[in-house]
Amino acid sequence: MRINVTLRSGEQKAVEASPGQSLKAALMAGGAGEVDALTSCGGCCSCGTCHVYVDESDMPRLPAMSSQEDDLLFVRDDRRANSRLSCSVPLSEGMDGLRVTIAPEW
Amino acid sequence: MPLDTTIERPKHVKPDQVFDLDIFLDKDLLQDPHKGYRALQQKAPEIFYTCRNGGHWVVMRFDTIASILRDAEHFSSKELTIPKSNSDNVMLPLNLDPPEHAGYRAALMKHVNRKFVDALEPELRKRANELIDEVIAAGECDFSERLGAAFPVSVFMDFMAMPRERFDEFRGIVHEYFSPISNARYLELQSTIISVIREMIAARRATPGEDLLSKLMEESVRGRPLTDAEVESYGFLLFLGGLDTVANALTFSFRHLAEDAPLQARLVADPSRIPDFVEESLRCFGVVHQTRIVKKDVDIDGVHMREGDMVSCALPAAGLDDRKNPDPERFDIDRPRREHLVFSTGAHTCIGNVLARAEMKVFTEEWLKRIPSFRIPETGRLVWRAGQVMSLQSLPLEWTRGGK
Ligand code: HEM
Ligand code: FES
Repeated sequence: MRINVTLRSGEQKAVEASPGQSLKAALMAGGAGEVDALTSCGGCCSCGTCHVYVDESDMPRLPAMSSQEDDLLFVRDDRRANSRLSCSVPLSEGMDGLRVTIAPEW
Repeated sequence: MPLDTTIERPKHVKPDQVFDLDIFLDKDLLQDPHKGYRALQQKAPEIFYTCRNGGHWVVMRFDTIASILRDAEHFSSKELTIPKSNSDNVMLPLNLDPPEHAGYRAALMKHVNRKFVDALEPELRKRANELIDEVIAAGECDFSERLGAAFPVSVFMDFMAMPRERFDEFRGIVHEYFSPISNARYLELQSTIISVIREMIAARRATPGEDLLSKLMEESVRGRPLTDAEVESYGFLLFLGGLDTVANALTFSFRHLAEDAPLQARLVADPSRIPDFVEESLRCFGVVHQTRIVKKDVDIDGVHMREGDMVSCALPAAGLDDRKNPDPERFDIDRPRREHLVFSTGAHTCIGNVLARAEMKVFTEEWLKRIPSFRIPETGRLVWRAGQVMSLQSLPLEWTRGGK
């Protein structure tokens, strides 16, 4: 499966991914390393640095957000309705072609 | 620390998993704790149990440490002291486990973040220079005391908007708190710190300000406003978490820099490399050993950890792991890749890490502008403290009087 990502520079990339991976892990492995900040919590839904915007039309394909993810997103003043923490989005077959944009550095 | 808390080997620990180490008093650690942990990493079992200090596991490899700190199902933060403190005091958000933890963490992260640090930076610069002013003419100082302890205190007082007149009083408390003192005195100083924070909360009730404490007093967790006791708990953790740690990390980095004249010259010529210097220094000279208590039996690499066991994750050793950083003992600001766990990982990853990095960067920049060349005098003696938070209690430095 593939994920289409827009980097902070505006550059677009298609990233190979596999079901079971987290969205963040797939982005990192696929050359969108900027999603992983120096100050990251290591993918534990605790730092808010792996923030991405998901294309509005793709939102229904994502699993629901946990209260922990919601708590953490609450601290980001650049949060939008389509915000997610990519470490907390497990990929599944139905998510092929997902479009995401890496949120500004924080 | 109680005098003798050595226990018998518990039954679930196999004899070949035992390795005798006193994390506070081991001679090699007191000689040079970073060298000491690197040596242990090579000679001790990968995960071992020591019967000293109430008995606890020690984990020294990067990957194993990371997997433990990211595993909130088996490891809890309810008890973080070795030997166990059995204390009822809860530090927010440090002692909470997920999922309860996240809301309290978020309330603090909303205010202690990159924006907060960026806004603070001019003040950091000013404070660094004021402290350098105090020592520069003499051509020598004990870095640990005059700068290491004093700089983070200045910063803390700034973001808590505390009156400058209280600086000496505060520096005194901090200096004593982190030197070897009796347990009774330790607890007494804790009460002093808490009462100062309580006093400040009362003052902010009367006249709210723009400082961190005032902001936290307005904050809520999942819709419920924070109580004064909760704000106090945050204040206490910020005090403890942000003072000794930064002081020690800064002192460790200056100890290295004092002995590396070519690096001094290089950073003076190109200050843009100072962040790499800071990061390499954090990797090589970690500060905190992060503990957890096992909350559910678990097997890791053939080791059975039982509910109630204490585990010490040697974060300073993680950066020295050759499986992560080739030639780990070499101090090299040009490393293409660098991995460490100095700020922990997982749910409790240090909230102050952006501030800590900025403090170290700004201080080093300002120092090198004014004292571009310095060294440890030949008669200088380094005094280390091992244990859960490691420090260099004395670092004598000398330079040409008046700086450059
Ligand atoms: C070089 C300096 C520092 C080091 C080495 C350090 C280290 C750590 C470590 C290892 C933890 C993780 C605890 C755990 O896993 O249970 C932590 C947590 C924390 N630190 Fe720092 N720290 C430093 C500076 C600071 C500063 C300056 C502040 C204040 C703004 C701060 C505030 C905190 C807070 C609030 C937590 C608790 C986070 C939570 O429980 O979710 N730290 N720190
Ligand atoms: S990596 Fe920390 S929240 Fe995702």
